[in-house]
Amino acid sequence: MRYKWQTGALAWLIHRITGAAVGIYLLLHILAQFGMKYDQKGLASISDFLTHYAVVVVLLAFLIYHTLNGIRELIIDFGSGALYHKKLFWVMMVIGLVFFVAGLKAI
Amino acid sequence: MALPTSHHSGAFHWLFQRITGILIAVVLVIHMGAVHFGASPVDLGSPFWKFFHVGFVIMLLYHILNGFWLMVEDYVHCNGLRVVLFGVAWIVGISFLILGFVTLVPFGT
Repeated sequence: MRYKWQTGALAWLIHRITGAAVGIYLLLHILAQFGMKYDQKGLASISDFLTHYAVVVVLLAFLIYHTLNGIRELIIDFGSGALYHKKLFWVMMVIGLVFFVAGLKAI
Repeated sequence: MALPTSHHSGAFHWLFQRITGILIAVVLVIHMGAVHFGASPVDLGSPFWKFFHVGFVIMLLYHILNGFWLMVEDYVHCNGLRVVLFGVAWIVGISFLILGFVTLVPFGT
């Protein structure tokens, strides 16, 4: 598949990449909780990986992006967002940055 | 169209991806607040939180695997590989549903 490197296609592509990464994180999170419940020592390293500071920072950024771009897509699909989807992208990025900074302080 | 297509348009999954997306965003905030950044610890073994998290796992698995399938539809053009990946999605879904269930249901016991 070929993409034209414009805001919409880029937003869509990043949505997929962040979605795949967050999806894998959450599956590992379920696996790690299972490991803790049944005392599976082999799964403890998954927990260490998931709670590593750098991993949590990336998760935070990806989750915020995926959520805000998801909302942007809802506005495009169900509202009149298609008319101003580029502007909406940057508005979402500014909102995301605020959430990211707030999130960094919380973790 | 070289690829065989389903009789279903996919509109249901398109809509459900959006509905589960909204629900997950709301539930995720509650999950983070209650479990990870809670001022006071909640009893995850209580029936409410068990239902809450089993529901969360079901919605997440749907959203993740439907997203995965959307990518397969866009990027994978080999029919055989599509069939394999369709099977992989179902196996992952059922496996993690069981993993989530056996972790959450006896929680706190």
